[in-house]
Amino acid sequence: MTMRTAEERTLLLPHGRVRPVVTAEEWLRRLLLLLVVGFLLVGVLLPLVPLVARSLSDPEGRFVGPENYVRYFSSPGLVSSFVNSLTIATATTLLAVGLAFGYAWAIARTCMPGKGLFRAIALLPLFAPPLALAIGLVYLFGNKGLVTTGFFGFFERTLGLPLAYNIHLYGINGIILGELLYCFPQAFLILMVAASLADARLYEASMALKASPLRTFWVVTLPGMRYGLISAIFVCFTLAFTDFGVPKVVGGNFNVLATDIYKQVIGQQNFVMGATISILLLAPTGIAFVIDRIAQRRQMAVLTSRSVPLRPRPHRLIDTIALVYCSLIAAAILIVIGAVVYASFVDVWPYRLGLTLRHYDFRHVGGGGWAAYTNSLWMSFYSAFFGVTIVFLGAYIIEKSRTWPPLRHFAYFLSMISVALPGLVIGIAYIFFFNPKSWTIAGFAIPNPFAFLYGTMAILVLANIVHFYTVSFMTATTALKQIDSEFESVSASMRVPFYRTFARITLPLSLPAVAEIAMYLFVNSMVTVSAVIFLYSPQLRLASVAIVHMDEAGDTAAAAAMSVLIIAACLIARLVYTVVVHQLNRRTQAWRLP
Amino acid sequence: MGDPPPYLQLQQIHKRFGKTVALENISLDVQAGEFLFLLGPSGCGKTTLLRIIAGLEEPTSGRIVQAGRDVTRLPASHRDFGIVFQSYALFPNLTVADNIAYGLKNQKLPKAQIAARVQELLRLVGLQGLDRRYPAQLSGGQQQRVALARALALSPGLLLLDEPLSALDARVRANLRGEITALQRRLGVTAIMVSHDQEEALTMADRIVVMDHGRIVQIGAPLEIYQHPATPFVADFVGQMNFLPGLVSGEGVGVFRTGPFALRVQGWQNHLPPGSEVMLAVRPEELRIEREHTGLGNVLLTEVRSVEFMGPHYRLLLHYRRHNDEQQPVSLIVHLPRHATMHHDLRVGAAVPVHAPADALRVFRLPPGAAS
Repeated sequence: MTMRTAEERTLLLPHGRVRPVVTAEEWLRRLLLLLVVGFLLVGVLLPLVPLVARSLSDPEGRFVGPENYVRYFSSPGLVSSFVNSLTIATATTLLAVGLAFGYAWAIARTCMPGKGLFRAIALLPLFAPPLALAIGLVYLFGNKGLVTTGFFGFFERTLGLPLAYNIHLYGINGIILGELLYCFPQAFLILMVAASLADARLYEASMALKASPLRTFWVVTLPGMRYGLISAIFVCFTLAFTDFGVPKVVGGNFNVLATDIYKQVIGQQNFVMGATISILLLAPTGIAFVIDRIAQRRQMAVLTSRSVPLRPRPHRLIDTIALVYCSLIAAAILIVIGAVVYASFVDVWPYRLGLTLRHYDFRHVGGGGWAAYTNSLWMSFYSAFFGVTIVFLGAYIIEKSRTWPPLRHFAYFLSMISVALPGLVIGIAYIFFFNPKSWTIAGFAIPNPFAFLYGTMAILVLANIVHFYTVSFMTATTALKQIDSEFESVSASMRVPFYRTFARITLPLSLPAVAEIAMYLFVNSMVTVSAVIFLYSPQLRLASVAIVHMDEAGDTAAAAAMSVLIIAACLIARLVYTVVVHQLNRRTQAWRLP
Repeated sequence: MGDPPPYLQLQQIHKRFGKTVALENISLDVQAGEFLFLLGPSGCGKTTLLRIIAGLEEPTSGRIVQAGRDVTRLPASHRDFGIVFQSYALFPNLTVADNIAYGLKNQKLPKAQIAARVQELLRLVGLQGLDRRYPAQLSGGQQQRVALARALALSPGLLLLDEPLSALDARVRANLRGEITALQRRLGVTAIMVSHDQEEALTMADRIVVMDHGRIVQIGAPLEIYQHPATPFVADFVGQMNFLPGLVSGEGVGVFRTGPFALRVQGWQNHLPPGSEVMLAVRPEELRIEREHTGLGNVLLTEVRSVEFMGPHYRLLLHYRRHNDEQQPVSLIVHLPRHATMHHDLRVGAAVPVHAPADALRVFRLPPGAAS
């Protein structure tokens, strides 16, 4: 017998695979997968086509190639917005990631008191629209702000000290401060996970080898948190680069891409330039997304099942420094949000400081008032309900079935890219995709089957689900990965259909993740403004959009009141979530504890 | 009268993942009621083969016939088997009884009948009275018994076991080995178990299929495999084996030389030209320490390198040189019963004559092109 190389043997072997009989159950799985892919195509991918096409056409729809981009970059005013956005995003990323790193490290690795409280405060801005944070800054540092006027002249009058201080809020200072507040909790969440995933054995080994604490930090701590840092940088950069709310309120004459898009589309009805700027908004976040994906793919399991969790040891000096550091940051967050709440009750800031509820009576201001608030609540509820359904089914069919591998990989890809789409881009893309009664493709008019969605609650819900799809999807996937992959095999061997196992086993085991996704979708749909500001209709106003309009009209106190209502709804959602998870854990304790 | 047709037939199964070949031309018949082991190192394709038999994975080509029915294209849900995994794969949110009844409930059987069947299965695996517990409240061994009861609940014709004992403590593992075998014999169910543990295979199997690199290397009863391994790989993987490089000697049929020593091998038929290189193999427990060098045949004069106490026996590491200036001497291991040590000087460096009985020696031809 002659010896063949492995390569030759491979070539001689049969190709293809035995095709199993397609059962009714398999058809059901295929149908489910097709539904998920269909949803993601309509929600994520297809709307980008007319967006790109518009940026390459003139206002009459004729193809002009890169002319719009050339025009953009030859207009000094517009180019400076691009540079401004990059500056803002870079500065915010450096500050937010740096500050959050210290904050997360202090909570995970020191023995300072009050960790739970610090954690809760750090996450507080997540429950407020970025607009609200900017409004808080206005009340502190604006022209009539608390700090700017030296506590309304209090220091001047009583102490004779000119303690008033003007930070020149409107412009780059205000934007960076606002974005910092907005991005900090996001960076903190990611870095907190990274900081908690430490293997004590590595630290013991480093100590046994007599490495200095500084060297241990460089050799063990930083590499261990490397991927968390990359993720945090990606998230902060994307958020700050694309955010609309903060620059809208405190930007002054400092233009950024996000406000330019708003001005072009809403102010000048220039959709072509709106599309062009949207693509420019997409480019850096797309690049950041690709870098992050490559980095995460290289991440091997930092923590193996044999890792020993690191327990911090008390150290008086370090613990004190950590406590002071965290207290300062926590105080800053509380003061800004406190300013919003306080201002919403003050009669006439800063002249009549008596407390009143009159700003909560929205009848005399624009924006839609309580109806807008109710609409937002319903929209967020629908987004949470339908969102968690589609996200979880999508993650389930991708993670737990063996149906049509290429299509499953495609569905996974679509599920992951939505995170790179800024809300404003989703909003504009949806206008182009859903608004026309018919699409013109290569000269042919094709009736638009989705046109009926335009201006309805459904399109708002769709935009929210797509906008927050990726993070929800990853939460679901992580939960599903923790469930034994052989459950499906065992069920098949007992001839139990997959949907029964899904209902009796998979779903009950994933309920905490389902609750988390629902809460996440509700809160984000409540606070978001960027996607929905292009999509709401006059009959269907929204609370977060109302803040923009009230602020534009100078009704800042009403904007503050609306912000407080949104924060309240989000905190209640969070509370409901906590109670639900607590109840779930109590009920399921029997099969969790040995 | 011919033999009854085999219960399960695998015909020329191939499996490849992209460019890598996982299984190559696997053909195998399993008789009804047989306990068959798929044994091999990790990555040899044994688990893939089990999953193909179950229909959890599709072969690239080949045919599978179970109980006279071609099941090659049927998905797992349309085949007839019960399966037990290393991870137990018990549903954590269902009680022991509900886990076992999971498949039964789907059959729309009356409640009382299901309850009776669950009790019967619990008795079968010795877990009476634990039906209301949740899996997390059981020990590893108990959990694996529940998994076994669940796999048997629908009275499948074929029981598949994917390393079911690997996650358990040594003592529990030893107990469960005997119980699984007894249960399988009692129910008469055809069983296929995947394992990388040769001891497990030797004690439990009716027949062992030894696999390596996606191919079947040898099929046989445990004793046959142990005594007549087909290749050096099997010899080394099932039990321990000493390999001594040797040459065919011209002194007569079945005589070989390793260095200065002549070894006669009983039953050696093959006529190789004198000077051909071969590999001589002998198990550690078959070697005898001689009290003194008598100059008789089949004795190697060795030097003690180390002695390890193993409990019931000592493990001696010895070596000898084929030439005086050989850089890497040939090592061999001898298992010596504890009581036998008192007669010998076994200090490191001591010279020890070792007798390799002619009926315990095996000869493997070297593959062409392999250098000694």
